[in-house]
Amino acid sequence: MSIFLQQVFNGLSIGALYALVSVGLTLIFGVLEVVNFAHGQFFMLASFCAFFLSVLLPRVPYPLLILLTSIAMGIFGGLYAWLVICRLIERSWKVSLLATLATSIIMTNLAIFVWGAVPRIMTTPFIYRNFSVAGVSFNLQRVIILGVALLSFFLLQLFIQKTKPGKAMRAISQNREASSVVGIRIEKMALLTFVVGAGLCGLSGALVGPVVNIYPNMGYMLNLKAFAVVIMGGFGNVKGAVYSAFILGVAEALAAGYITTDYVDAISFGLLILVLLFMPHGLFGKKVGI
Amino acid sequence: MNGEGKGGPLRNVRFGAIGVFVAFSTLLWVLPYLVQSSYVTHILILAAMYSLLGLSADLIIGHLGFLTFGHVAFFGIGAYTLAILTTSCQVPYPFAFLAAGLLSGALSILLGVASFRLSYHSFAIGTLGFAMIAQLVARNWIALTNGPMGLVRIPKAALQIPGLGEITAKSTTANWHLIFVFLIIVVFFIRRLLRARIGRAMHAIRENETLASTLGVFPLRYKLLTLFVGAMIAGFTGAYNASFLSVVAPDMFALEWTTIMLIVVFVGGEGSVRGIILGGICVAVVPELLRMVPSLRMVLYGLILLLMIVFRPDGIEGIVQTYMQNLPFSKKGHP
Repeated sequence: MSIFLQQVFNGLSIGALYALVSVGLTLIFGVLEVVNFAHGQFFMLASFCAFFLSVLLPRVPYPLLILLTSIAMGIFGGLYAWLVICRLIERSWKVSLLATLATSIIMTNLAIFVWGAVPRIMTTPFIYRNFSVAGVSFNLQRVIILGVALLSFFLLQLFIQKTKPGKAMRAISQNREASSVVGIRIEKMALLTFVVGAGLCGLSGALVGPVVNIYPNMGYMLNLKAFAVVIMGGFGNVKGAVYSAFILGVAEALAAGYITTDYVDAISFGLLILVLLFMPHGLFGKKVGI
Repeated sequence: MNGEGKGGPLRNVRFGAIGVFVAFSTLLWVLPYLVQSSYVTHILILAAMYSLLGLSADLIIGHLGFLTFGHVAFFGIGAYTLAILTTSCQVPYPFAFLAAGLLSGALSILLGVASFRLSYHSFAIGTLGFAMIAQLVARNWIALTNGPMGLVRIPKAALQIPGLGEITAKSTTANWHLIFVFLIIVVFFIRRLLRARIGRAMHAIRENETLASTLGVFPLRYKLLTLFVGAMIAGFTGAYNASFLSVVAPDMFALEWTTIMLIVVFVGGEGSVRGIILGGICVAVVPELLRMVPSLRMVLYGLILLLMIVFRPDGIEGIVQTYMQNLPFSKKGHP
C-alpha cells in the first residue's frame, strides 16, 4: 500500500510538470490557434536559465530564483511572439505549426552546439530533504513543485476569469474577428499569451530543473507528452489539460512501478489513443473554452 | 518532366518535355561514370531518397491536406522488415523487399483508422506519437530488433532469376541505378495516380471534405488509400536504405528524418512533383557544400524551413514557376 501511495505521489509531482507545460501550450492554442511545437524547448531553455542563474548568483534565495527565471522566460516568449508569431497569426495553422517546429529544431541544436550534450545537475536546499508520513517518503522539492504548480493554476484561473486581459483572451478564443471589431488588439494579446505561456515554462524549469538532468534534448519527449495531455484534455481547454496532466503523471508512475519501465514513454500515447477511440473529443467533452 | 496537358496520360506530352526528360535522365544515369567519385554518387543516392520520401509524404501533406509527422515510421518499418527477413529468416531479397512495402502499408491502415478521427492539428501530433512508439519498439524489443545496437550485415539488393543466377547491386553505381529507376517509376506512378479518380478524390477532400462526401466521394476510403500508397513508397525507400547501408538502427525513426521530409516538401513546394524533386536535391546538396558540424547543420535546416515558410510558402516550385512564365516558349496559364 505504501508503495502504491509513493508511486501516486511521484506521479502527482511529475503530473505537475506536465500540467505546467501543457497549460501554456493549450492556452496558446485556445487563444491563437497556434500549435506551439517549440514549447518543450522553451522548458529546456528555462531549465538552463535556472541552472545558470543558480550557478552565477548562488546567494539568491530559491523563490527569487524561480521568479527571475519566469520573468526571463516571459521576456523571451514575448520576443518570440513579436518576431515570429505575430507575422503568422493570420496565416493557416500549418504555417505556424511548421514555423514553431523549425524553431524547436533550431533551439535544440543551438543548445547542443553552445552547451554540449553533457547533462547538468542543479541543486537547491530542498532537494535532499525528505520527510515521511505513514510510510510514504515525501521529497521536499517535489512537495514544493506540487504546491507552487497548484497555486499558479489558481492564479492563472483568476487571471483568465476576472481580469480584463484575461477576458480579452477568452473573447479572442471565442471569435477572433468579432473581438477585433470591439477593439481588442490581437497582436498585443498574442504577445501576452506567449508571455504567460513561456512564463509558466520558466516556472516549471526552475521548479523541476533540480529533480531532472538538464540537457538540450530534455524538451523533446516532454513536448510530445504535453501534446498528448492537451489533446486528451480537449484542445484549448485549460482545466482539462490540468486534470489530464495529473492523470497521465500518475498512470506513468504506476506503470513504471508495477509493469515495466521500458515503455513508460509510450504510455502517454497509448492512453491518448485509447481516450480518442472512445471519447473522440477528449476526456472533457467538446466544450472549448479557456 | 513538366508540361503534360489534360487528357490521356502520355498522349499530350510535349515532345520538348520528353526530350528534356530523356536527356536529363541519361545524364544522371551516366554521371557516376563521368565523375568517377563515389562521394558524388552517394549524394545522388541521398537526393533520390529524400525525393522519394518527400513525394510519398506529400501525397498525404500536399494532396490530401493532412500534415503528418509519422511518415518516418513507415520508412523505419520498411527498413526493419527487410533487415529482419533477410538476415534472420533468410527470405530471398525480392520477397523481403515486397514484404517491407506491404507491411508498412498494412500498418498505415491501422494508423489511419485511429488517427483520421482526429482534427487536423491532432492528426499531426497523433501520427508523431505513432512514430515515437515505433522507435520505442525498435529500441526495446531486443529479441526482434537487437535494440539500440541495430541489425547489421543486411545483404545488398539482389534479384534471383531461375536459370540465370543472381544479379546483385554491389557497387555504389549499381545502387544509384537501382534507386534512380525506382524514383522514375514512382514519379510516373504518382503523376498517373493524381490524374485518376483517386487523385481527384484526394484534391476534393483537401479542398472541402463535406462537399466531397456529398458528391459521392467516401472520404475515409480515399484517405486510407492515400496513406497506404504513401506508406508503401516510404517502406520501399526504407528497405532500399537498409540494404544500401547494410545497417539499420533505431535512429531511422529519429526526428531528423521527419524534419528532412518536411523540409523537402515545404521547401520544394507542397503538391508539386517537380518542386519536391528539386527540394530533395537541395536538401542533399546544400549541407555538403557548407560542410559543418552536425548540430549546426540541423540549425541551418531549421532556419531554412522557418525562413521559407515565413517568406516563400510556395517553395522552390513557386520560384521556378514565376521564372518560367517569363521564358519566351513557356505555356501560359499553367495551373
